[in-house]
Amino acid sequence: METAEKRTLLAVAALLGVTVLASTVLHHAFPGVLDVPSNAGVPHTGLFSIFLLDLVPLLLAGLCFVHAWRRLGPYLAVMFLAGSFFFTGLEENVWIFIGRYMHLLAAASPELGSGAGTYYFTRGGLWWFEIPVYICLGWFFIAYSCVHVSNLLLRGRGIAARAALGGFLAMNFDLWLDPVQVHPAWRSWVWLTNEPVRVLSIPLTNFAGWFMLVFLFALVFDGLPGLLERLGPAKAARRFFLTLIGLEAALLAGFLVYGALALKFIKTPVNLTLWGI
Amino acid sequence: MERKDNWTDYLPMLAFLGYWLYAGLLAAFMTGDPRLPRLGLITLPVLAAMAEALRRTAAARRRKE
Repeated sequence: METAEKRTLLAVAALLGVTVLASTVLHHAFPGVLDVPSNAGVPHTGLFSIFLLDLVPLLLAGLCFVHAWRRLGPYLAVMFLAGSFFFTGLEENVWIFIGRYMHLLAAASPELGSGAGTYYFTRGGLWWFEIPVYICLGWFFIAYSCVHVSNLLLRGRGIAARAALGGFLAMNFDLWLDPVQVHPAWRSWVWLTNEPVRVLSIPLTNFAGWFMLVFLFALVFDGLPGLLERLGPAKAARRFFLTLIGLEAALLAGFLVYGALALKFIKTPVNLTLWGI
Repeated sequence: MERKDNWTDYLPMLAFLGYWLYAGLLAAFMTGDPRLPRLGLITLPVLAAMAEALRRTAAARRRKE
């Protein structure tokens, strides 16, 4: 590996490592700072359960990372891991904090400002701001496996089709994962939103988010080898992360507009359900 | 890639299927709500895609051998 590549990867890893460490200390030792909700009544909050919940996704992410390292090389493997971690983690964090401090939005949109919040995660050992690290790692290996599979199945097709299939596969899995994980027996995360359109009792924007995050990330990641060749490792990494931040902002703005319009115009809640779920 | 390293070709699909079993099927059964394991049928498209990817990976390995 070139020295410039090594330096860039170390910088990315150090930045993520330091923010994870600081967030974890803040979440557990000073929950009042970020108004962390109470876990009263949430099952499986013992130390062993939390350790296990962190460990399994870490191992599965490790499998995908080994594959990425061998297939794409160290630079692209670390960028896929750090990029997907950052892209999806940032989106979820912003969404959670918008919900937590929703009352401050009342001036801009009375409909949004009157909401009870969006959602929050209940348990986790390591945290990245208000997202458990195992969720970010889950995003990494689900995105990686779905994009890898869509590349295999649509070999020779354009990136838009491959990215769309990757997004669809990830969203398809979450149609089951979300209802299971929010069941009272687990309560891995808690939905607070009063969003009127739901699928299997889960807000529609959640599934739109799953599709869009994996779709957009696959599109941006596909352009990274070209950036690396043209700009070198450090500038390519900066451009890559800035593009992700720009898309993040556009996606969140879109969801906010949708939320405000849906709350204003859809007066009767709709739930597309199977077996009453 | 060396012949001995070829097992790594399967890792993305195995990681996904491992999570499907762990966070999906096992967790669904542990809720005690019989509707949730049944709801897993909704993921047939992604399971079919994973199975086809495993098949194509195995076929590519056989061609290399």
